[in-house]
Amino acid sequence: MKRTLLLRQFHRNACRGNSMLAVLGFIAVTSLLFGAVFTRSMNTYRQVSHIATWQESLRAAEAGSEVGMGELRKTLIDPTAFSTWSTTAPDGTPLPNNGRRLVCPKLVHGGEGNTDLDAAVTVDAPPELVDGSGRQWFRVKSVGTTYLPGAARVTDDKRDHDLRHLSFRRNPKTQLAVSQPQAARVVELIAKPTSFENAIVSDLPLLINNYKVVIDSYDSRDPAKSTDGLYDPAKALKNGDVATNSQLIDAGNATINGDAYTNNGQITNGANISGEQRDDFYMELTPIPKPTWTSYTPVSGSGNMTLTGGPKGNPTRYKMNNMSITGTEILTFAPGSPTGESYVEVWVTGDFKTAGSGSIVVQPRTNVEIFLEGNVDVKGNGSFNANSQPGRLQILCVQPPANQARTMNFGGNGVMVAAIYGPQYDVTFGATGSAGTMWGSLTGRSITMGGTTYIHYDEALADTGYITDYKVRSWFEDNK
Amino acid sequence: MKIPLGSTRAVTIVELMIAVTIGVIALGAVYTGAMSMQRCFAASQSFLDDSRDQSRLSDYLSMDVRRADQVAVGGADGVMLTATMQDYYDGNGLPRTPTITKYVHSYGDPAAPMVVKYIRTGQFIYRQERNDPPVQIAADVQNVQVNLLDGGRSVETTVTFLPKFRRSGSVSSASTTLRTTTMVRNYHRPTPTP
Repeated sequence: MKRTLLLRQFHRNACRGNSMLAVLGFIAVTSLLFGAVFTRSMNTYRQVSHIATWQESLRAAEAGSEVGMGELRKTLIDPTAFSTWSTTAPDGTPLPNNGRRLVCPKLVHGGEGNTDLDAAVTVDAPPELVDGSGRQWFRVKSVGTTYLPGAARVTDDKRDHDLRHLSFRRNPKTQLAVSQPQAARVVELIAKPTSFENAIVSDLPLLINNYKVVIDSYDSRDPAKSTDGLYDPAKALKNGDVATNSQLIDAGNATINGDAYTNNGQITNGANISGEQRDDFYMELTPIPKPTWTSYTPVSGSGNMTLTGGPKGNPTRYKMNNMSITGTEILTFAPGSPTGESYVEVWVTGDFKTAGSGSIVVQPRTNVEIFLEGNVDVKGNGSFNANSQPGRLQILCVQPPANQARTMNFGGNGVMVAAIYGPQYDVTFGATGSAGTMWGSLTGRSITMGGTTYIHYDEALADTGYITDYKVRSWFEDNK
Repeated sequence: MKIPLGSTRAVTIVELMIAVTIGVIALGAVYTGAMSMQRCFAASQSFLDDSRDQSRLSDYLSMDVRRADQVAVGGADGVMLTATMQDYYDGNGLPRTPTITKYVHSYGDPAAPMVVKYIRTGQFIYRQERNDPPVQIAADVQNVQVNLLDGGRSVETTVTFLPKFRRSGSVSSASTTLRTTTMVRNYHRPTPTP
């Protein structure tokens, strides 16, 4: 009997064991299925996260390059630009080419996946980037880094690695260890110093108004596009572009041999515009800072006089209260040495006025920059830098104090060969002139034209004039 | 003490048949569910693979168009897009230092730029740098359209993929379309002639 009872007990236990095995088997199969689905889902999720993170790292790199460009542009108005940037690489070695480096503050956003964006930007000036005018171009290199969420696991498609070069343990480019899995993208820009890139630019509406206005271009550097460095109608070009940061250009049916640009605006009476008419223009008109010279020669601003120049690195500087050229007076700028180019800088704290046949003569090999604080009033039939290049006479209007307006009035039938930059000046061409001519370029706050005026834009100004901005000339993503 | 014979329980043939029937039905349901899951799984995997190919193709195209100086659409032998850019890398694959000749910058020899081609062969898309062997970067492509916008200032690409969904031996499909517009950042308008 005892044996029978034991058999029964054994049988019951065996039944219980079968049930347990069945349950365990079911759990195992379910777990396998779930595990397979979970693993595949996680892989897919990881891949999507990696792609999104890699794409976001370009934004970080672009943000860094924008910071670099911003600081570069800041040098035009602020001598403290780059003062907080490092001159050494992360390993402590000095950066070549007078380089400057900045690790930008971390950008953080909410949401799923990566939330941090880091950027490190380097700006340097390689000697290879000096152009034909001796102007230094700059290289801006930015590395944007974002962080891969989750474990450091590589996804399974080699083609993605070839494109994205994600860093899990080491950066594949630098071979340096990384603190956490990340995606890094490198953007390299070349920044070009720019000057007078258009025939006419205004911040407010540009009103040409008169069909007798003619605008075209030439290039004083190129014998095929000018004669002896002077405008030649037979060689005129169609790059006399006009542009405004506002929403309106009234072309007045003027003959514009070039393009016309507004800022999301309209161009009226533009039947005689030879080039494109676009509405995607905006150019920040960088103000000219007031000179801070401590060494200069004070001169009277009226009567006949001759001002001589100095070498490029040490231009002769003059300061006058007003520049007034009337009657038959002639203001002459002459070279300071028998050979080579000479440079003159004049600081006019008051107005610039001409009348009668008063003229400015800029002799060969002489380059003049006039920094002007007051208003401009040009009348009469004088000539200003005639038979020369506009790059040799640049009138740079200093930013006036806040809430003070400045005006620039042109009348008469004179000849002005100059590059004029007055982004805070309201410019008016009088309606009484019958043959006023300007070779060069004009920038104003608002520009209103009236009588017959011929404007011949010298394309050389874009490469040789006073630097008013830096623009991205080349954009490249380093993806090896 | 005697143990009654009827006290040892067993299953009758009827009970067994009922149990087997229920078991078969349950297993059938499980099998059907598993097969559905497997098909669904495979289909979603195919869809995800194509999505990944879409992203890769889009990212490659965007990168090359962004850094190109010039982009041309179409060509012989299935070429759908040709991006011509500065030769940024030297012979060792390292970045070059740019140079300026008068007023024009360049990386390397301006007369020998780097050319990247996108070639479509059937449902595959290949990317080719210079004369290197083409590398397949996407599959299951049903249709590709590349258009230059705004006089070549930007490029619009529309790529339709065809993930496969198998059902009862036949293949059904549902296409997905990816459309991107990318600016040619180094675009410079040709100088107008007088």
